[in-house]
Amino acid sequence: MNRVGWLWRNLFRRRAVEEDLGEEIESYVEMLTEEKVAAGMPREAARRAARVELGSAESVKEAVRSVSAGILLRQVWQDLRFAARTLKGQPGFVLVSVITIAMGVGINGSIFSILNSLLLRPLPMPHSGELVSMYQQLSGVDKRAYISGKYRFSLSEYERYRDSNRVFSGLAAYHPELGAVVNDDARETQVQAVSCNYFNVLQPAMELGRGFAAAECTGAGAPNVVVLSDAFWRREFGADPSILGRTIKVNRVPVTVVGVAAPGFSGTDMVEASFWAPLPMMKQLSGVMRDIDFTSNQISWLELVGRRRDGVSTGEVQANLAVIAKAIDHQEPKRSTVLTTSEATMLGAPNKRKALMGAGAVLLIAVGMVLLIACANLANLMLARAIARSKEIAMRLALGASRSRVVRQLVTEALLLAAMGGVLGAVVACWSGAALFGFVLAHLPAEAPPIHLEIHADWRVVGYALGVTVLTGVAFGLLPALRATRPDLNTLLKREGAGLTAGSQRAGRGVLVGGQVALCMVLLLASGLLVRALLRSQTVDPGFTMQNVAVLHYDLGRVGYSKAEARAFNSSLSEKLRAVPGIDGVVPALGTPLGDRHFISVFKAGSQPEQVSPYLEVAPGFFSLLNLPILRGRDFSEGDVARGAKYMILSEAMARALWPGEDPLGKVVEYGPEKAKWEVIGVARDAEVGNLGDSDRKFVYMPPDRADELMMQTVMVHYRGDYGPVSNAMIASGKGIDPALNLTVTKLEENLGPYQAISRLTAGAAGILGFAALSLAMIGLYGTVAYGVSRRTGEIGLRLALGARARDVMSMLVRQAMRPVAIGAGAGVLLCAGVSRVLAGLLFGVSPYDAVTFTAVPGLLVGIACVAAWIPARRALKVDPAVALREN
Amino acid sequence: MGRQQRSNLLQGTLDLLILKALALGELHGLGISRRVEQMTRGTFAVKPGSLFPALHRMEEAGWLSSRWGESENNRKAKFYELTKAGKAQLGAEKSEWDRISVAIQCALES
Repeated sequence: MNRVGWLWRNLFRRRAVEEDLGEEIESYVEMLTEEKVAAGMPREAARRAARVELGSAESVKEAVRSVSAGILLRQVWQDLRFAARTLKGQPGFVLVSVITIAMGVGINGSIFSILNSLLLRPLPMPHSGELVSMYQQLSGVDKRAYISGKYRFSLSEYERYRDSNRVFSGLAAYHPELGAVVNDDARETQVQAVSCNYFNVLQPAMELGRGFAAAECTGAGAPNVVVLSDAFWRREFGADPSILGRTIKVNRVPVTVVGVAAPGFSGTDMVEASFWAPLPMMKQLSGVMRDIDFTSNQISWLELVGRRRDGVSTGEVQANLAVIAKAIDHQEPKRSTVLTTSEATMLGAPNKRKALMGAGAVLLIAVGMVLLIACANLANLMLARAIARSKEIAMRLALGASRSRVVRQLVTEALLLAAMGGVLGAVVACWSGAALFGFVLAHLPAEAPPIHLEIHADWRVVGYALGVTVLTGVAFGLLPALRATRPDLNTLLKREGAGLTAGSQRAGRGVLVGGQVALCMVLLLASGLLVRALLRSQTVDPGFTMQNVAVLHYDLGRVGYSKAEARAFNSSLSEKLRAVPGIDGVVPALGTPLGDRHFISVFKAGSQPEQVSPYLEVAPGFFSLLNLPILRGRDFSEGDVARGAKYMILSEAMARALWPGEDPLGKVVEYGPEKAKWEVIGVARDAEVGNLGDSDRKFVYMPPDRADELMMQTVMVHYRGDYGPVSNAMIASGKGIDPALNLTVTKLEENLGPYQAISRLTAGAAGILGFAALSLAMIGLYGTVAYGVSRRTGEIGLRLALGARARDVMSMLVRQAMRPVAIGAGAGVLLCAGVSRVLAGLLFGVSPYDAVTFTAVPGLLVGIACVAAWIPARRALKVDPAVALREN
Repeated sequence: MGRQQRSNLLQGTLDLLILKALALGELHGLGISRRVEQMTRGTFAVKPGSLFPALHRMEEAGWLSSRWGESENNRKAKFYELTKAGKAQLGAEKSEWDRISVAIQCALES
């Protein structure tokens, strides 16, 4: 029999093993007796002598048991059974603990399951473990242009990697962020431009038809084809099985449907694609970017995903691709490429991953803190139970159980509780991850693209929940177990129960309370800061007037306008709008203040260093329309625009940055790739035009570029009276020129929506966590004080009997209770001040050290703590001193 | 008590003695105890409190095998016997012991 066999026998054939052992010892005694009889002893005396020589049969058996295989498992099993028996007698305690842990583990797990789906889980495709995402980081390139994300590749780079690698069975490229209009539908839907082999590489199942054929990707003259997503096919075409070969219009260009992807495939990006088109169709799909030459080797716009060949390791992939990157680098003098590859997930781009991991970590830490506070409460309860069981524990120690054995037993109890809570919590996590993500999606700003993500639990989530559960169990089980089994426990208890001095036992509770208060303080301060940010985003004054301004949006480039046609459309639209009753100002612009389209460029003055600044092209009247005063100089005039004058208006901050302490009027700025000279004709007051909460108020205003009116996609109007009729009239004005054009109207104030949405989400989440933390910490404090006071009834009675005034005793009790609170609160404030910078991006201009928050929150917390300590203390004082004294 | 302490001290010695006791053939618990006493001329008396745990430990380690049989006076008794691994172990422990005893001898005589 081998080890495993013995283990099996010892664990599951217990009765046979025990009988065998019993008989063996019995036969030993009998043989010993025989021996003594043979030596001449009377049988009775011999038997007795043999027994004496053996000693306790039970202790011999125990000695054998303690060396036989599986002893640890058997002890664990014993501990578990004992723990279960003990807990059965305390259903209230079990209920509170299990619910606390279940909530903690559940919330932790659900947040983790979202992060897991985004960052860790491979794409939902066949053999997705083979799929590898590629990213590059370039340095030493000065003419490079990037389209959403610095980590992408140009077309020529893609082709180079695709053709010269020896590690991929296929390498696909795609551009995920495109909107298109299908069949003159008013709404825009999401498209991905993808390489010809996209469907061959990813191998998603097809509902109907096929992916793209090589002939469809040759560019000019090739047939225009698309593959639809299952959801789009059902929604827009009622799951029509005869869709294959049908022609639909995309941005007014006829295209043929060649396939429908199977359900569940929505592309390789979080943004759900409605259909896929080959890369050469980029021109038709690109809308505002239609003038960009996507074949240029200086434009990064493609994301790459490859499928590893059988038996090729990730190291080989990295090495082979690095060789190709080196070869590409050699074509440009100073260029160097850093290539990264990773298993393909829903969110791959390193910048996005980093941002989300940061946010996720902050959230997990915050939730973990709440869980810790809850653990401290449970530890308190456990400690109280352990004290109540001190006789039992002392007895076991006295009977020879080692301290570690007793600690193990007590921790087993905690772990059993944690496991019950953890299982429940894992169930909560599986269910609430998807619900939580749905909630977040529902509260995103309306303009956000449709996001598709399957949240479901897998082994990673279960493993995480398990880990959290075990940590929880150890966290709230170990400290009480160590304290309860302290060698001097008995004497300590005796002294403390009767004496007047505060025991060191209270110090242990003080640490728990202080820790709770510190964590609670951090969370409350964070939520205080976020709530302040929310208030600010609701009542913000960006430095210009947003009321009574409506914005008309449209995209001429996408629907095939030429530049000349666009210019004609724009000027006749402005004329029509001016004629609408109730409209008293019309300003075409490249984008809107605080809008979602951002334009950033480099500006240079003389020998000064270059300044990077956001800019907008705005027609004359922009500043008066928004009540944004021009402090020096003047606004653009219609004449300036018509002449194509190279004039600029700067914000104060930009003027200061370019010419510190000098008068900027009449000075010259170099701008644009051709380094044209632009003259400064005005300085506008600083305002938050680019981004809400930016401390940097640099901004540049330029007149509309007459040469390219395709970019002009918004017209701002100032109106009086009701918004409804004005907005209808605005749409009608546009439709009057081009009935098929897709136009929308929004209020300028709606630009605050995304900021408010983020604030509402973060402040809401932080508020809930902060409230949970506060409640838990105060319950903990209340419990600690109540328990402490109840143990000191005798002492209090004695003090009162000796003539102490109730008020003094009360203040002593509260003071003692508040000492750990004060220490914890101070630590919490310091801790939060140390880490609050991580929130800076969410605060929209509220300082991470905001004085209001940092005084109000600690005040509030300490105030509530005083009440939580005062209530149980008051109750203790109501006890009749005589009764209190007799109790001891 | 004194002997017990010494046998604790010489944990490895107990194994060696039991293995050696069984080298000549199978024995039951009491038999092993008596054989050890006889071999060590009464210096070591192995008490049941250390004998049985050692036997079970060594059996689980695969050095011994056991069977129920009849004792010399027709009592039911559990007999232990060296396995192949046990014989190898005896050899190994013996040479280890030789090495140590020579070393200690040297140390004491120096």
